[in-house]
Amino acid sequence: MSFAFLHTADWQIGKPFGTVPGDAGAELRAQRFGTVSTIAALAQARGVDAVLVAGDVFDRNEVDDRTINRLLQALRGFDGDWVFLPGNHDAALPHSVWTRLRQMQPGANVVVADTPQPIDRWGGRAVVLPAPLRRRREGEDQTVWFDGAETPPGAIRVGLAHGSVPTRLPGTAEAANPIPETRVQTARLDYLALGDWHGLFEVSPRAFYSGTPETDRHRANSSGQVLAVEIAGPGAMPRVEPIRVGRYGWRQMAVELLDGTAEALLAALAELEHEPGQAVVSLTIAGSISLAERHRLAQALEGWRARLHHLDVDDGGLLEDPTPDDLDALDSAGFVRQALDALKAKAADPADPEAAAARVALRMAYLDHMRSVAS
Amino acid sequence: MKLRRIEIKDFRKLGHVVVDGLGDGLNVVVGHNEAGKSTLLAALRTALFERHRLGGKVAEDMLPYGQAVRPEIWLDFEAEGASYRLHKAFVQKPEAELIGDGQRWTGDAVEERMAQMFGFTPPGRGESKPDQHHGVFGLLWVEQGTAHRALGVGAGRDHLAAALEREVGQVTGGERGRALLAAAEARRAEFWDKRDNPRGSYRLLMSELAEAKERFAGLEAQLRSHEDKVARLGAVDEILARHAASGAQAQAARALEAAHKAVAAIGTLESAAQRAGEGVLHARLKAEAVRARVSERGRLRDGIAKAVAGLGQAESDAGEGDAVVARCVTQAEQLAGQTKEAQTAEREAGALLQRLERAMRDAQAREALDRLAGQLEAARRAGAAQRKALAEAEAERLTDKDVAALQKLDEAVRQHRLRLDAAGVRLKLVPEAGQAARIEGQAEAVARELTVSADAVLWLEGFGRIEIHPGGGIAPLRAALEAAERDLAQALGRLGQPSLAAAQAALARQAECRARAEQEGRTLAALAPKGLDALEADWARYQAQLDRAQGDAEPVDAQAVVAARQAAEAARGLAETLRGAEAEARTALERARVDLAVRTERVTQAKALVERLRGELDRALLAEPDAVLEAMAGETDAALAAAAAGAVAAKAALEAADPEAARLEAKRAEAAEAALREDIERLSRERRDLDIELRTMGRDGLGEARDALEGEIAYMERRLAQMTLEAQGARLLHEALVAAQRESRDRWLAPVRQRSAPYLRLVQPDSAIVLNEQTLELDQVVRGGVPEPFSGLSVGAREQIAVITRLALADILREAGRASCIVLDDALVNTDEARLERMHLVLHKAAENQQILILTCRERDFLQLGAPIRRM
Repeated sequence: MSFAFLHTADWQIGKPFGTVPGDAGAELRAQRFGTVSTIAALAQARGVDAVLVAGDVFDRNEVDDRTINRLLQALRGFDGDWVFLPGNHDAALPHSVWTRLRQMQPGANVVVADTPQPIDRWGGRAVVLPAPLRRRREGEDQTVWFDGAETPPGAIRVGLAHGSVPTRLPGTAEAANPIPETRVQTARLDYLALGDWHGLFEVSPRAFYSGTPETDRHRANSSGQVLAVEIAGPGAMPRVEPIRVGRYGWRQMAVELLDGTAEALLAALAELEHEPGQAVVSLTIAGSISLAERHRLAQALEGWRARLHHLDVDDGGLLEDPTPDDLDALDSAGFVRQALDALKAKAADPADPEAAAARVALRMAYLDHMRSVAS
Repeated sequence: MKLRRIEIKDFRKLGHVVVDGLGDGLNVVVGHNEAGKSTLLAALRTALFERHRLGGKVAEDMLPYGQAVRPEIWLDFEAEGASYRLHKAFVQKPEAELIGDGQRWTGDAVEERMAQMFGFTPPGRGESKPDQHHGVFGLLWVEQGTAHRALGVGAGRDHLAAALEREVGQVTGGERGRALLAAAEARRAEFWDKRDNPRGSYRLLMSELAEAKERFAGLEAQLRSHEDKVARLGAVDEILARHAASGAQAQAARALEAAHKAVAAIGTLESAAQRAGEGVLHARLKAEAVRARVSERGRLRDGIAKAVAGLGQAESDAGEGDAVVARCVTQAEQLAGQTKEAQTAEREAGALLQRLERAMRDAQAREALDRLAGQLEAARRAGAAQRKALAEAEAERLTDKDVAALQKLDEAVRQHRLRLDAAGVRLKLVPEAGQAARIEGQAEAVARELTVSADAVLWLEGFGRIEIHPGGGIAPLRAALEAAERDLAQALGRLGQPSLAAAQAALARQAECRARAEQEGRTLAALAPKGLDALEADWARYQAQLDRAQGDAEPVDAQAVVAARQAAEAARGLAETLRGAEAEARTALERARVDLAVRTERVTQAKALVERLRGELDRALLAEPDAVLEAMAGETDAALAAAAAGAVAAKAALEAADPEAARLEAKRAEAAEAALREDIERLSRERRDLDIELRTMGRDGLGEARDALEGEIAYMERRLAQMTLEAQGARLLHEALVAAQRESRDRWLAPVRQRSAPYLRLVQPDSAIVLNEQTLELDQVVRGGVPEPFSGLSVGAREQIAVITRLALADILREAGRASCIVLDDALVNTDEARLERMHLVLHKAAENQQILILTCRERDFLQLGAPIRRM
């Protein structure tokens, strides 16, 4: 008796994206619900038994009631079971988003797994063992009870947990909500659905992080997917299929300009030609550049800004280095040149607290010059 | 440019003037007032700058007053190394011709060529304006009275600027530089206001960020509170769960019930003990009542005994009293008898004494009477004599004063007589033969010597008559004398005295009488010191006394009287004593009687008491015989003992049950149960309230707002950092440009300072000229390091400095290829002599390189200049 479900996690519903202002930010926020609808449609189309959401459904416990309602709306696309596990962002506190959700008449197919009790809703085919987080910070392993949990014979055992597998995740040494990698064995789990890590990641053949279905940060971690899991019977190897559901692609780019021109940047940006409207890009530029090139760079970036969904530029590491030609263009002689020479000296002096302002001043002078030339 | 020859014809007041032979350096043209030297300058200008075809008012102004002639001007000059002659004619048949450098121009081409040569703009229509159309000549050709005003750079500015730039060898940036500066200033003004505070969108962003941070802090606080509430909710739930699990409440209830039961049991024992106590009380009361009655009876019996004894005592007392009374009566009677006898004796002794004394007194009276008779007689006589003398004295109604007055009058008469005599004629008659002389009217003969004081006729015997008229003054004397005599006579008459002597004698008699009266008086006084009347009275008294005695003149013995007196005394004393004793005895008797009455009364009372008490006892015995009473006393005592025993037992039982402990336990159990109940109620309430609060917070959507705001703040901070950098950059750029410009200008205007320095040193040492950067006008003069505005200097100083500046600028222009001559029309009229000398030195120095044309009316000023002088 097989059991099929979608494994997803870390929806972070209610995440504000405050650093993306205006409509762009609003669209990112709205998309989180949109992706849930996508998942619902997918689940309905595939006819799976359940959708397991392994924690951090909400970005925090104090989301608006409206937000909860919108989520419930989005869930309507699938009439199978939704099993929600409280994570560290949305822990099952005495008063939490789950207590409020329950009061909003969710459908009968919405299951909040906020107690460490087996969930047996599929006619004995499968039992889900949830390890909900009941406190914001849980120092202890919540999956311990899996080992001793009794399930009907012949039932597929699926664990649902939220935390970190310290020995397996790249670079996480923090022990918050730890889950030992041996849990699958000791609890005789057929599958362990994990959440908290935002990227798709295989811990072991039976233990996976699904990652967030809609990318929400600039790290390259292969997020934006859900896992479609099918287990033929107790003890069988699960068949795990990643399916892309995310809409926006988040990219982080760092460009270093070493030759005094903007060429390297323009080349890098060219990579975004494919669906730039869905790209959320964080761009870091470093290096040194002439005034003329700086001007060209600024214009190019303006152009790209309009095409990308959102562009965040950090050019603190980009230094203007006016060439003699730059300065001559402004003024070959006369007091203007004198002023520019003084500013250039200031900009080049690392000990001068006004060095950065001097660079900006040079840029402005060049800009004014270009404008007057144009008029 | 150098001027060589000027010829003017029919131009304003100048009919025909030629100024010739102008040299390279200094030239002085002298013309007194009204000679037209300013007109000369005007003509020069006209020739150079005005279009020859100029019409209208300006052209008319060129004409001499009231004449319709044709003003003409010829000008020979050198420029750009060639000689030229310029000729212009105005108003009628206007003409222009320029010949030089192997070429010839006529008409409008002349003006164009001139403009081109000298760098000025010819006017389009109408009159030229110096500051627009005269190029540098406006600067270098100074009209009368304008030397000390502004330089008038005007249209020559650019030439000057170009010359200076060339001098400094630096392009100042020109239009573009200024445009950049303006752009930088505009951009700076976007970010910063005049006081260098942030403004506009920069400031707005700052304040928005600050406000957002505040809001964020508020949201954080609210969320923290939310968290706290959620935690609290969990805690409350936990406690309630614990209470429910442990069943503490039921346990408390049970404990309470048990405690109550124990307390109830205690209560029963307590009431039993109480009742027992009450029983004891009752029994005691009864027993005591009986006891009281018993003792009461005893007392009664005692009382009777005592009363009887008392009665006996009272009776014996009364007997004593009787005896006393009897004794007193006896004594009183005895004394009464004695007293009577003594009184009789006393009476007899007294009578005897009286008789004897009377006899003695009568004898004394007789003696006195005799004595007094004689005295009385003498006194009477003296009195009569005195009276008589006084009467005599009174008869003479005369006083000392009267007599004195008389004496005075008499004296007066005598004086008057003497005067009269003195005034009278003294005649000494010496009859030869004893003839007589007589005053007519008088019978007797006169004395031999006589004084005639009045008209008189003296009859001389044998002679006849001599009429004597004593001289003047005698009449008043006589009158006075007569008056005095009259007065005297009057006074005498009044007093009734014939003469003064008589009066005096009368007075003497009066005195004598008085003396006599006095003497008699003294005698009388001696005899009757108290007065005659008193004496008479004494005598009368004695007489009366004797009359009364009536001749009972028995001889009296003084000793007998004394003895009688003593006896009477003794008798009286005895009588007194006895009378006193008797009185005392009576008093004592009274007292004894009273006493007896009291004692008798006591006896009566004692009897009554005994009666009463006996009666009481009889009644009591009747009601309750002794035996019955005794029996009752025994019963009640026994009952009391029993009750006491019972009470003791009940108390013991109560104590055994430990009431204190039971009560404490009950209190504790109650408190515990109540506390537990309250706690649970309170927690339940709190839980309800928290739930409601938290649900409300959920509706507010705090969490999302906070997160959104956090992102916004981060975004804003980045923008602000960027904008700050831009603001600082804008400011820095502007400041750098301004500083650079200023520095370049400093360098740029240096030549002016340099060129003017040697001239200034001659006239105003330790001074420097400062031109305005923009307009190139004279701004300031720095003297001794202190800048002063040009306008603040004296007119003379300004003249000098303005001239010097022009010389310096002319130098600069010349080096830049714009040589021109300088024309000064009475430019130093306000300069003092000493400085004028120095200015001459300056002019000399300048003229080494420059043609300078000085127009003046003060020939003397420039005689020492050493320059060729032309006269107009």
